[in-house]
Amino acid sequence: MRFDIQVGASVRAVELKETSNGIEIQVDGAPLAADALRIGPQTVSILFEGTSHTFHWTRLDDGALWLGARGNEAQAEVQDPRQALTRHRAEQSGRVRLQAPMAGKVVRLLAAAGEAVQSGQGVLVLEAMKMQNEVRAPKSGVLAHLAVASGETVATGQLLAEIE
Amino acid sequence: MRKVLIANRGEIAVRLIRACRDLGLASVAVFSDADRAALHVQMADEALRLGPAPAAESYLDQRRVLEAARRSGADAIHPGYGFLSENSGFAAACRGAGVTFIGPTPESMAALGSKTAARRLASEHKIPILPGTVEAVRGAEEAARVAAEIGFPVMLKASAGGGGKGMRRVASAAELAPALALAAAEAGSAFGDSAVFLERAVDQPRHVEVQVFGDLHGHLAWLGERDCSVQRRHQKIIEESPAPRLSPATREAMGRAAVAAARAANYSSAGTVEFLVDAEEHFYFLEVNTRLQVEHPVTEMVTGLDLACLQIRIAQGEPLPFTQADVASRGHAFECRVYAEDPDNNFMPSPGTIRLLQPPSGPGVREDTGVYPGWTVPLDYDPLLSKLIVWGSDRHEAAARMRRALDEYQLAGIRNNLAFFRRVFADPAFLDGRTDTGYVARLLAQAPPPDSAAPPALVAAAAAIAAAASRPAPAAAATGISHWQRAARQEGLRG
Repeated sequence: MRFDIQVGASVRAVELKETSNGIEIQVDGAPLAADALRIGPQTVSILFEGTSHTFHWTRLDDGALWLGARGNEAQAEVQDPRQALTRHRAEQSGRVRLQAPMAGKVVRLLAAAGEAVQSGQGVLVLEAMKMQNEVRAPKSGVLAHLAVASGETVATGQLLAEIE
Repeated sequence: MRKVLIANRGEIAVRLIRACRDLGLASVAVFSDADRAALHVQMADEALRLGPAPAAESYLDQRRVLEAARRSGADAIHPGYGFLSENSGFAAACRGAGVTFIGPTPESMAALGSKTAARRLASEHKIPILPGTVEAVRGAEEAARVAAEIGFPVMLKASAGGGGKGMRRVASAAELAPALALAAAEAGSAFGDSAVFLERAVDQPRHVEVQVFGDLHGHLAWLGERDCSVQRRHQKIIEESPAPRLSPATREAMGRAAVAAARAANYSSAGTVEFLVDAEEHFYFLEVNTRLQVEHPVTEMVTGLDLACLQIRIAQGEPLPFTQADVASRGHAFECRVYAEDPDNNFMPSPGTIRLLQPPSGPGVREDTGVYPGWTVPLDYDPLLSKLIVWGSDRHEAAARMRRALDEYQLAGIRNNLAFFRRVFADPAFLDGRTDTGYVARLLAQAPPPDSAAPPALVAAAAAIAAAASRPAPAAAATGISHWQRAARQEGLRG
């Protein structure tokens, strides 16, 4: 089985082969002198250079993998190369999508569609868990599109507005 | 008293169910539709539905809570913190219904319950307060006039407030009117009372509070202090006792002032007198929280007292089982509030499902939790998941134990602030006790420490193994045998 694993900025091709002696691992084409053992439904132990590294893992709601070692954690994505390309195109267009930083309710709009906004200026007020939070423009420009109305409930990551 | 209804949810409801069990009392949980599967519902002796998810129709609905008490035959109600805990009208309604309210009397609560009432009472008893409006401001014009008199920056605070909700720091006259509107709206939404007052802002103060306890026979004592300076968004995230770098003379003076404030309000049960302490160790009375605090375990760890049990015993008419001279603080305790929030995104609440949870244990470690693996943290309430509390013989040992506990703690599926706490307990300024309310911002302005995780190739290998293991398993139906059939076959085998 081959997986493209992205952790942080770097992507590694990992090849796994289940043998009678355990799991053989290749990273970017080179064999990894490590002995991997699944020691629980969500736990794997990797013995490398005489040291055991224990990782707990779980799948997150957005599909990413969460990995926790003692005092450390990392997120990994099993990457689809097409996704990265789409993301790159969106960045070049100069249009910035303002997404809901958390699930909540839009209690007030502070700017109207078509209005010019400054970087840092409040666009709307989002209430979640009894806290009112101003969602601010990440860059100066024109509020090209306002995707929500006052009183609307939004999910984390939902598009709120676009600034051009 | 035989049966106690706990009018709360989350970790504090679980904590109070445990207190009832320790005292041989039956416990009754109440829950909203969002909490149908919550931990406190599973743990109580009985659990009654209150109503829909919005707090106003469930945990804040006095009529429904009292009806649940009547239906379950509970003869006492513990309100926990938040929700109805500081509502003197509710305490009076309990009295009217013949149910013991575990907390101060409605009269004491009314005298101290709002920050403005408490400011008036403190100034009458010569307890130092910050200059500002004693009463709530009556509009933007009055706010502008008073602010101009005392000078910017000023703080706007909800009279009915707590936990930083409805609170805003205002640096200039131009920001005052919009900030007042936001603070009033937030206060109205959180407390049903949009009254806001104004006082001089002390820049980067320390936040130190004194635990007081009284019985129904006029005995009062203070049980040491807690430093709660490490805050984000005006809400505490780390508390400790004793307060670091506080002279014994100041500590003693604060304790006496706290008892004076409590005595002036004829106080009984658990209460917390909050103070701001400036760089020169001047202290200013802020307010009295007429409830058991979130951070009460810190005091429990250093005094050896169980404050929740003590509240219940005092509500039954028992006298305080100690005098001021008997109260001793031993060692040092820290508490970290584990929240479902994102430290990389201004600590925004981040609800979701807990996929993995392995809390720490070992010497000196206590975890007061309200969650379990598989629990979905609802969007409707405060996102506190659990409190991690440690004790050590001194501050150094307690900090080392907290570091160890944080390293053992595995929590995933939702964003949380554990990694942030690991950073705090590795920070030399924090370990040196140099904290104030500006501490979190200063820490975040520094470059994050380098990642000391395992070699990247190992992390990638572990991720690949996890990816291979977490691919969707073939559905049970595909095997041609349903779970029901399999269960029936196993039943048959058991004979």
